[in-house]
Amino acid sequence: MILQYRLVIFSLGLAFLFSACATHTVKTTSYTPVVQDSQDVPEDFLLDVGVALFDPGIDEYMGDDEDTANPEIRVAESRYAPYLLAETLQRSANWGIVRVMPNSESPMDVQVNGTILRSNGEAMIIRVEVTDSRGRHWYTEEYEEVISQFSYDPQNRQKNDPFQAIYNKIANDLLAYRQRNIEASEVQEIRTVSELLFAQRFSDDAFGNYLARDRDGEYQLTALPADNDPLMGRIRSIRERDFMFIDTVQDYFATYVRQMRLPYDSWREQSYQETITLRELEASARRRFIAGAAAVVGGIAAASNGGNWATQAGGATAVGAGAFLVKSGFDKQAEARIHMQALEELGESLENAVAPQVINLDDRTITLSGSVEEQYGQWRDILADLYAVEMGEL
Amino acid sequence: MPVGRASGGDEANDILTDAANGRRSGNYGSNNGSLRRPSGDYSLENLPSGTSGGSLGSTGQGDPGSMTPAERAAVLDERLRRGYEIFDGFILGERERAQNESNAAGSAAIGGDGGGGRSGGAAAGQRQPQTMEEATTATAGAVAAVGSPPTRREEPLETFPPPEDIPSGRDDDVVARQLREAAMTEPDPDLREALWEEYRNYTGIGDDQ
Repeated sequence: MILQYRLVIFSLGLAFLFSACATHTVKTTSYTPVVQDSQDVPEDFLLDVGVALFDPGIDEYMGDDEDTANPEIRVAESRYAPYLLAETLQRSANWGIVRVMPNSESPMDVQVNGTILRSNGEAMIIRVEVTDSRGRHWYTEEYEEVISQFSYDPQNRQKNDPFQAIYNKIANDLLAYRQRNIEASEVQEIRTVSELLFAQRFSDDAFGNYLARDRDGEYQLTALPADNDPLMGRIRSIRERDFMFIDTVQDYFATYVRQMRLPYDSWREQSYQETITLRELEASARRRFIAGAAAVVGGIAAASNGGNWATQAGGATAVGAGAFLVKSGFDKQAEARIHMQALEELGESLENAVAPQVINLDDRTITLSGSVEEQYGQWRDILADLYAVEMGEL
Repeated sequence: MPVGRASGGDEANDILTDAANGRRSGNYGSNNGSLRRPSGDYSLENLPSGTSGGSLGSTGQGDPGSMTPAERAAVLDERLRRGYEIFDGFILGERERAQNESNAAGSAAIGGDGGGGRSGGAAAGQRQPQTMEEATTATAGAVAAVGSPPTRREEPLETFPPPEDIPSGRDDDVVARQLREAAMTEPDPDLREALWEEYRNYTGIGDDQ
């Protein structure tokens, strides 16, 4: 008898407890600033950094329930985020030139590749892989940042991207790795390898023998061109122009980021709110289903096994309360669906706004790359003739 | 492993060493006067004859059989040099166009709290690390030499982050908001702290602790 009373009280209590629960997400507003190297490094010891367009991570995205962005938005972000990372690295003053790379043709001292694993306005996860021109793998690391509403405060937004902290962390780790693992002599080696790789791109006959791959596939210097090697002088002139080409592409990216920023920020902030609301509604619905089902089961047991009218009446009450909770769970689910639809509509709206800009950016970059590559082809021919002249073959 | 340097060849042609020592981008000021305003069609499909590759004897600049190696190299270097000029005009024209578009896209420059510029030990205008925005501006200077001046943007007022115990301020009333804004833009640290103290007193932060 006592057990049955307890069952009824437990069922009702459970129902009350679960339905009264609410989640409160507490997020840190701490901010990771960019670290600047304490040593004033001469320019000859600064490494240039190339940031590749990020992998939009569509494969990972498809299996992530928390990610509510459209694949097209991911593609847009894969061109937006590397620019912000490159800008952060450049601003840190720890590196030489830092550029978003239009393609993989131009060797840079340090190459940063990224994959966006999650981005929904509330959280961002980026996997970063870093290598140097020798082909040495520095590290692969995943970075996650979960932000609070504070990050969307207009005053903060004026200063930083809401996810600026994730780019700062990446920049700080890159500096820390270089400080711990790369000797000054290696910096020179990396820079020389970059230059020779570029030279090989234009005249493999002349510069092919300066580099060899070791058993790990990394480039090793086997010899150095003479300081006054005329062909290398010409290569350096051409490389300077390659930097001009890459800088032009940065202007394309700057335009793209400016065009994308307002609609993208608006989407991220609204997406943030919708994501939080959606998660709370889904959790609330789940709790109500569990509590309702428990109350119904407990109530039925009490009602059917009760020895007197009080336990039977209590059991019936618990069943009623459980049924009410289950119904309210369905209501919460319906409400969550509305927010899911709102998220989808937001995504479609942003997609419509940025998709033409992505296409425009890609088109311009490809067109310019094609024109430049055509010129490079002509210079290659001239350099081949020059090499033949110097070898006495022409 | 010590790596030996190959023996030197002939002296590099002086017209080709213009950029050899200034590898940082943005240094486009020494390209043999090629920073003229691009005029006409600078697309690379329209290179004048003689700037493209091809066999040495195809330009009509003499019979290669009767030329010395130095003369042959000079002809080829001249082709390279003319190619550079065309390329520089093309790229700078394209940059000018891209920067105008970027300016037209609005001054939505993204700020940041980077470590600031580094000075010393570097050639002026070259080694000072710069943001992409600054790089763009610097290059606009080079472009200005060939054409229109860059559009000047208003510099935003410098702001300072609030202390850690200051909340977001979303529920601030008018007075609290004015105190917050004044504190965040006050460059004097003592005055700034006094303003934050006033803000704390007004909003009652810490009273309940």
